[in-house]
Amino acid sequence: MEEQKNTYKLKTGLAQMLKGGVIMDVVNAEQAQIAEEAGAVAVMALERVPADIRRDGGVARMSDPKLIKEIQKVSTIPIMAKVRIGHFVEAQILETLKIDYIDESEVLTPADEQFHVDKTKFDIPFVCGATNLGEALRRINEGAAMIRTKGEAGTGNVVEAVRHWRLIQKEIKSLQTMNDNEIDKQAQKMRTPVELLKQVKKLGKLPVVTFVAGGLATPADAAMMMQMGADGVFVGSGIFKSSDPAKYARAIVKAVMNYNKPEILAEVSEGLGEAMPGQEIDKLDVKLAKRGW
Amino acid sequence: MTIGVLAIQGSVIEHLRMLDLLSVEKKEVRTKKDFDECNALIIPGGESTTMLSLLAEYKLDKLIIEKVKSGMPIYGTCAGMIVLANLGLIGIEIKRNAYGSQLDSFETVLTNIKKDQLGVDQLKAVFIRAPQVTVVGTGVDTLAQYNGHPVLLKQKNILVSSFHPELTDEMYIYKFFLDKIVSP
Repeated sequence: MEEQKNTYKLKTGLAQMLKGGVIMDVVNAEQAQIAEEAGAVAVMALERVPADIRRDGGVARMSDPKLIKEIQKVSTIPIMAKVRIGHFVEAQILETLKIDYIDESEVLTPADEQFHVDKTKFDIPFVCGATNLGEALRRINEGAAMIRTKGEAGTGNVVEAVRHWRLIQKEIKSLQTMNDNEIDKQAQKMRTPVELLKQVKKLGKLPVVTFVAGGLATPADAAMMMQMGADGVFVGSGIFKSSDPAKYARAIVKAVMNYNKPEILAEVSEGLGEAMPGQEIDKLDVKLAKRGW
Repeated sequence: MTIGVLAIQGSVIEHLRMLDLLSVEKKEVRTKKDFDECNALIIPGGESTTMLSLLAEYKLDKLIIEKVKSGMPIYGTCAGMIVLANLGLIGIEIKRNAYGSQLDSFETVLTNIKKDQLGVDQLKAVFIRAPQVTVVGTGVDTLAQYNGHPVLLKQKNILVSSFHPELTDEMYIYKFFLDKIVSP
């Protein structure tokens, strides 16, 4: 029987299976287990959560394969890991480790100022960050099978995630009133193929699963993004920088399932202990969302 | 006739879309009240650990067991199959992620299928980090196999597949579920 592997349908298909779920940043096998037990649909394996990357400064790179292997040993859910923007060799390395998804991420220090990874050349699927529609479509055109809004990782401040999500929705909405000429112009402006833009106009949404990421810290933050239409959420520093990660992780999972039920949201928000410390966006030294283009 | 789709997470809208194309009444199911308004249920693809733990949290697992035992038709795809096996509702044993990681996910066309029951001689199938059925108990009918492993099985009012028909454009399995199990 003929078998086809690594098709775009399979790449986008895995993301479809993650919808309605929470993807959690973890830095070791123990955290990966806590995340899985709490009901995460996938884990993002990295050496430091964004809040620590932000605090420590310096160059942030792909994780040590040893760490990824340790997490693979204990996890039954999909494993994602990050590569630097444009660092196609880090991507090759992660592909040989047989993880499930690569995140070409602005949270790590960019490796190329001109080119993102040509994701069409890889068997493994990629998720990429975006702050607006043009950026999302350029990543999809490069082969990304899933999009996440960038937000501002490691801040515990949801405002940028909201801004990016709203902007993308607004840009998609404005396509609905455009004729073919205007779509042509818009495609040039966004440096994206006109066919892709027409597809978005027709669908009324991006053609791939779209999660929200960057700064979500509480169950209420996660539920808000779901009410705004997100397919799911990434929670990075929010869980393991809180005072009771297992409880916090579970609360966020329950909040995403019950995003439309304020009474359950009240229940899961109660007595969670300290959330991660938050930061004002305009007091940041580095804005990660500005990385990539 | 309303078909519910368990909406904890996963390929919910994909199944709803297929039901829509078949002009069947459909409903997202999250609560006991939702369950009571459905004649049959589909458990979608997704992450079985997430679904099982949230089903248990809201005691929906007991409700599913009760409903299915009293005859409610149910169809589980991929994670949905794992959920049904885990709840002890279908007599099969399963190995999760049996094919490997995402890089081992595959699309194929199934030809080793029971044509007399399904009404077609091949089926498109999408396997994503799929489980494998390792033991088939008595009373369980294997309707399709791939490389020697059962991939579509039926036991009375219960249908399971280790692949995702909701990611294809084929309606055969839905029609089989509706015509042979939901309203035979």
